[in-house]
Amino acid sequence: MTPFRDLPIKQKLMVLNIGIAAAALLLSGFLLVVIDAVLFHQSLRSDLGTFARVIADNSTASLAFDDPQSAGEILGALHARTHVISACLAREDGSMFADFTRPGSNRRCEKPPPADEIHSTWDAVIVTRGVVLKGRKIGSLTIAYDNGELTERIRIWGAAVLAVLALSCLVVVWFSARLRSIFLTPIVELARTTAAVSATKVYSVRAASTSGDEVGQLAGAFNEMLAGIESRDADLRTTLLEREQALARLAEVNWEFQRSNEQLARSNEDLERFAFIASHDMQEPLRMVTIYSQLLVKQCGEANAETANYRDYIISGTARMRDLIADLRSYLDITTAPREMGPVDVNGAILKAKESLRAAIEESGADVISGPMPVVNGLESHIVSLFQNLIGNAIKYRSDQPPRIRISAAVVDGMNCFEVSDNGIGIAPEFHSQVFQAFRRLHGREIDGTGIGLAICQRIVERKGGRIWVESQVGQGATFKFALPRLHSEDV
Amino acid sequence: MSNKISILLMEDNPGDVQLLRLALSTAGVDCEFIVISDGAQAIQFANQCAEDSGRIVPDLAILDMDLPKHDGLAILEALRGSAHFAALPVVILTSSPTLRELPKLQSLGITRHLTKPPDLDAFMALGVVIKEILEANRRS
Repeated sequence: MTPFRDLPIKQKLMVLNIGIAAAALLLSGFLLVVIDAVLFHQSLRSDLGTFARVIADNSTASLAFDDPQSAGEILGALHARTHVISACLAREDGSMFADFTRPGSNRRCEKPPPADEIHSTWDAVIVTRGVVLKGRKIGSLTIAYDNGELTERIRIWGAAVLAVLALSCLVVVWFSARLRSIFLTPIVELARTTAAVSATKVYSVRAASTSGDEVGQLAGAFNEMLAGIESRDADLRTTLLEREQALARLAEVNWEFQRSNEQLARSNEDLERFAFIASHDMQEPLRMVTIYSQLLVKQCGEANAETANYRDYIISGTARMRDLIADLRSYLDITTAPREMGPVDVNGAILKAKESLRAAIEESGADVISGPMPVVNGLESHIVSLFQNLIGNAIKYRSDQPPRIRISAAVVDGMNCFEVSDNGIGIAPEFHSQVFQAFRRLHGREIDGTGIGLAICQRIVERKGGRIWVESQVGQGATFKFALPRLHSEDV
Repeated sequence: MSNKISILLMEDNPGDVQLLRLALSTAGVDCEFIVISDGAQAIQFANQCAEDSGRIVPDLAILDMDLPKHDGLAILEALRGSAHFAALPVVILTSSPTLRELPKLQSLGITRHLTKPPDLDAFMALGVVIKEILEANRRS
């Protein structure tokens, strides 16, 4: 069956059509031939019966007068009936009276049966009729009639059936060709379109829909499906294109970003180097200016109020410049400090910070209370500096009440989170990010300072991988918070 | 102090030279200075003195670490290389309190490391410190 399954539909159809037509024709032809043969056989028997009766009656006189010659003549006339093979006229005792045998036949007369009968053998029909004179049977006639006529009829009928069969096959072939154009061509067209779409991935082609039947509906549905795929394909292509464009833009932006980052890093490095050199080299001339102006002042003495003013400006100016340079240096030194640091107990660092701020704490009457503190990774001088700046700021920017400074620590999101809160003047939210910029000050000279403290704090915290921020409102104190990574031993 | 004290001052900043003179005289030290203002000259001086053993040995050397051409370490090595200056007390003077070469300098033998003070009063106090060093050396 497999080879048949793989045949193209048109051949399948042809084979099916021929097969069905042949089977129907053969069956009906066979039935017709059989029925005809049976009917013919029956009529032959009946005709032969009558025929034999006529011959038997004609032969009565010959037998009654014992004239075999006339009987032979009567039987010899049977020669004209080509299908009569033999005819035998026997006396009542069974002895042969006269006979006729067709030349070429080897049939011999046999002893006739006692009663009238008709029986058929495979090649002949044999009829026996009694010869009766005045109610007394005086002999019997037996005629053998061959089946040649029947065979002839069957042969003619068979030939006719075969001829019809051949003709039918021709009609089927022709009809299949017609069918193909009506029925198969749309399917083949559909199949070709499908193959083309599958091979080229071009979804804009459409199958030709010519009929309203199932194939036409299939083609319509296929076209609808193609339209759906085409629109989805177009959407997909657009999306892909957009994504590619977006990716390209992103890569471009990334590259620009990286380049500007590198430039920034380079200019940052240059700036740091410049600041470092400047802070170093400015110290010497500043020292000279400071000391020699002091010397000048000392030697000139108190000339008058005006020169005393000048003197004060020089002294405060040089002092401020010295502070700025010193602060700049300590700010820059944070970066040059070694990165690998040991554990620092923050409790101890806060004590040291408070110790160095003792004068300011006592003078302002500040109340500095710190809770239990963890051990962090770092450089002790940095941690001390961090708290010294934050506590110092809390005292420096106090309100009219005595400073109340609270320091606490907790673990938040896996980081050590510290808080230094005060009851000072507070910072307006719009300045929260500015306060961490180097040398950025929100207050004038009424409050002492260079504006480097919080920048130092930020640098220390960020260098340790943490971050620092402030939460504050004007007049409501400020809370400086910073988060530092926990020690590795705590990361369990 | 019977005869005049001699101080070898290796310093390129005339302002500091002037201030040291003033500080020492204010502290009551009557001394004369041999002033050398660059590293090459200092090394040349050390080598010359080694050949001429008749020259007087200063009572104290004050060495600024940041001289042009040769740094303080090279100069101290040159000084200690000659028998003439092997026992010379040397005070190192720097502008910043941190000194990376300090261990090497100490192994070559220095008396003290002093920082140039940022204001007049502290500078004058430096005169007193140097006077004490001179007196301590004289006694020993």
